[in-house]
Amino acid sequence: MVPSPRNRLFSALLLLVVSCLGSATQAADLSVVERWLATNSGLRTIRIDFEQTRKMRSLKVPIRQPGTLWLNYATKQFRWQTGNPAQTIVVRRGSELFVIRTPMKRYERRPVGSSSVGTPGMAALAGGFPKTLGEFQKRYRILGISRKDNTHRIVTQPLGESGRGVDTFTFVIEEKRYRLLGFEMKLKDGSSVDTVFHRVLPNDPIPKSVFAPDITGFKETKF
Amino acid sequence: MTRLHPILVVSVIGAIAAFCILQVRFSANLYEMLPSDLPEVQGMDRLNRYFSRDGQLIVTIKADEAYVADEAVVSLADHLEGETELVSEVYRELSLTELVTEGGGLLAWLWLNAPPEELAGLAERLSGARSRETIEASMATVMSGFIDQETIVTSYDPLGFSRLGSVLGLDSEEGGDAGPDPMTSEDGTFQLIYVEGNGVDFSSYRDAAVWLDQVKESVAQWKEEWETKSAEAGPIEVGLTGTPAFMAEVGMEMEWDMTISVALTMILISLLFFLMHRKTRPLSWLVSAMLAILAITIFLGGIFFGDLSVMSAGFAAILMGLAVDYGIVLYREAMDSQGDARDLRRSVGPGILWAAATTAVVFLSLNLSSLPGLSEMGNLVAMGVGVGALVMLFGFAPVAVTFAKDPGKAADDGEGTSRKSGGSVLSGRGAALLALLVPVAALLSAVFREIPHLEANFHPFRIRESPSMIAWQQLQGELRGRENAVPTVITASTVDELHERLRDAATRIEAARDDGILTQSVLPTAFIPNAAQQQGNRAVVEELEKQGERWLVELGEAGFSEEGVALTRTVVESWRDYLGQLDRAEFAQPRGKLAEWSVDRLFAEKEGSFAALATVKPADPSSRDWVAAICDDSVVVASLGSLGTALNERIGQDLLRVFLPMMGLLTLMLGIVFRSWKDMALALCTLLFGAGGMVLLTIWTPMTWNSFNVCGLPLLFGTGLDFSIHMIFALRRCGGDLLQARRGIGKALIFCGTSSAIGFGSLATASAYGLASLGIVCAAGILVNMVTAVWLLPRWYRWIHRESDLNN
Repeated sequence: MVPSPRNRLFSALLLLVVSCLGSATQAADLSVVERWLATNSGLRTIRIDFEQTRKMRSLKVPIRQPGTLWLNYATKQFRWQTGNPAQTIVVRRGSELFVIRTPMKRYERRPVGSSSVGTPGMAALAGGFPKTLGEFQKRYRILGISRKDNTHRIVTQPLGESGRGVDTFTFVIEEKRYRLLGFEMKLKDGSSVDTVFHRVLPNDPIPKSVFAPDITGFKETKF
Repeated sequence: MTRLHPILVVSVIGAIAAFCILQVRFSANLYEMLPSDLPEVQGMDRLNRYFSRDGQLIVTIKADEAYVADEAVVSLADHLEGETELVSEVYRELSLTELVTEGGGLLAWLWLNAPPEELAGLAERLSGARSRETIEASMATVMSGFIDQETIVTSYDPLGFSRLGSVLGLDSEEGGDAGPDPMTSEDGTFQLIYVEGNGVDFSSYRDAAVWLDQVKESVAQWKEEWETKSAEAGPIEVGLTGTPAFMAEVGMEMEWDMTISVALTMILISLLFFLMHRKTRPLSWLVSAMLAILAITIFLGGIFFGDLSVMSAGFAAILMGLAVDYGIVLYREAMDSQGDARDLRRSVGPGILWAAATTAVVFLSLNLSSLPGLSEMGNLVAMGVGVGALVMLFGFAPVAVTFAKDPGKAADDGEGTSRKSGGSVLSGRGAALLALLVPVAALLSAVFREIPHLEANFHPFRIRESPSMIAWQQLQGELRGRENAVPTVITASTVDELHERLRDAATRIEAARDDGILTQSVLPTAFIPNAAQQQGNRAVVEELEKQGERWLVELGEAGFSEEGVALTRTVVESWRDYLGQLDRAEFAQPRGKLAEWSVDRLFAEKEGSFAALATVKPADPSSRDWVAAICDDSVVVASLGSLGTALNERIGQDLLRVFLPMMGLLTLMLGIVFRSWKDMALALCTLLFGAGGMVLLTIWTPMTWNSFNVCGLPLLFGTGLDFSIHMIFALRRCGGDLLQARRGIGKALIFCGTSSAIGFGSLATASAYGLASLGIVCAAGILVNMVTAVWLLPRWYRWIHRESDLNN
């Protein structure tokens, strides 16, 4: 069928409107990311208190646990801790990660960048939050951005080794102030991890001892 | 006979020759043309015999991002699974959930097959007193919130059946990293799929080539659809490699090499003949005779030698270059003598037969080389020149005499040329100067620039620009742990003996690691069925199997779901199955797709003997120290790195063993033939001059020597001597008349030398590096010999013999 001139004009207009809408959406999406990343500029240290809910396919009931993350961008140090008192502590020392289980008085050393670390979860954030759009896009592939319950949800797929086994990684951003409120991670086996930030303390002085927990009397092992 | 139209004759005989070429079966097993006593060659042979699957294609996918590679692998695997007429099975890396359902059978078997003390450790960990503690520790790990691969695996394997580190001989306290991923690169951007072919006899490279083309078409269709659908994901590269791809490419390349080199030789020789004689009818008969020689030789070659190797593909062109000489001698003699065929045979027949015998002996001397591929080529050419002499004498000679009455017979040229100068552009003083300059220049170049040597790391059978080889090299480079990894095959006549030899090999490998000549090693001991250990572990496994129900209850109480206990359930059920097998057989075989797939790659049984596949990493792959340290009759390595060194060592020995005695013998023969020390010295100086020319070419041009083309030295030595003898005898006959010698034997030598050089030179286009380099070196050497014999030797002859000598 040969389209009439009128139909052709309508099709062209429709195409124009759709493509404009598309580019407007894309621009808005990226601006959400950029505005959130802008809140990270000038960040030297950060402390985040959170609650994590893990729905593992291998477990009958979800697990809820409080935790804290400390990051020092200048020294590239971090500490990840769950439970109060601490059940598990993960710190970075040079090119190694120390995974410490305090109730068992045991710890394990893993090289940073090996296949057993940097995989899904908070370990992916151990290197710190991205500060620029370019940096963000090097680490995450943006699958979509939506708005829900006063939040922007940036749905991504982590790139590189940290993305292996992860289906989606969603950053939840406060709608008005563009602060990170938490993230949701869906694993390829169907499990999910939701992390909600309760308190965020930017540039709060962090004592050095936080990144060097005392493991005297602890036994090195392989978990 | 000559009433037949020449084009019809060429067409009929050409069709017969083409049919014969199509009947040739090439062997795509490249190691068959290398010395079979080298551990490296035995390693390739045994790797192929025990572990190669003729129909198993490896498909590689490379993307910019891991997620793209993940999605592409799943999509392509699904696509290929749909090609049921081409593919019987597709194996891609399993996802975690698939591993949980598929892996239980393998884990249960590995524990049953493990050393009793290792199994005792597991039994202790899972005993009534400790199993809850183990489960609690796993739950603590899962609850830690630090979710990584280890945590996820623990959540599906809370009892730790997959902690096999100590069973597999890996360095860790309680198990751990099971080594690099064999199907995915570290960054996930490069992944593999194994495809099992269907409906084709993969032992035939022609059938394999047809199948491969169909697979390529199917993959190309998928790729087009994928790129349209996933344009934003970026480009992906798909490669095909593995046994069927290698076989198809090598076999088809060999057929192409033979066809192209024969066609090129025919065209160039025909052109040369036409330029020299300006006749088309004799040319058509000459071409027909050459095609007949080719057809008969290929037919006989098939009977005597069966499948031909990659190097033998070059024999046809060499044969064409040599056999045409006999036709030319007959044709020229027929032009001069005006007799019948019998007279013609009587006058030049003995000379042709002796020349054929001499050439055959030179080519047969290649049997003294350590390279079976080269020997086979030498035998084929030797047989071919015999056939060639007979076909020319009894087939072409009767036709050649009919051309003697041809009114268009070409008149001799050069009548007006001075006898003293012999029509040469080179004066006597110039020739004398060259005789001195070339050897001196060669010596100085060797001293001050570079001494000619054999290339290191040369692989004569490597096919140039082979897509499957490129894909294979990419695979080796991308997968962690594959770089410089050398497959090591251990063989024995029984499984028990195989374990014994593995222990011996482990001791030697450990010592080599201590000495620093090996950097890494992986032995497959855990994957080899061990009847003694399985029977010894039987009681413990029976006890463990009985505890299975209790573990499932405890896991449920701890909070693990049905998915979380699935692996444990499979392990327990598999133990039940294996215990049943042990009632009926000496040892149990692993069950399940993953189990069969992984064990088959490390353990094989063929015709009553058994083999295990280990891997070692040498500190210096080209050294042979590590080969000597770990290899014996039952332990061999498929190492290409050290093979180049081994071949160079072996060929060096060959040259000393074969070439030097041959030179001594030929010098003695020269003395007997010439009965003149001056002529003998002249012939030897001619050889020395030719050698100097080759040294200069090696140093100042890209031409190189390797362990394969260096075997062409006896051929060059033989042709150089042959040309000198012909020219010196001609000069003797005509009392040192340069013009007469050049018009007679000189013209014949130019044609023979050029046609032989064309035959060898046409191999420069061959796919195999070894064959191409042999062709280049031999063509250059023959031309050097020809120029020396035709233009320089007569001058030196006059210079060394006084006028009085010549008159006498």
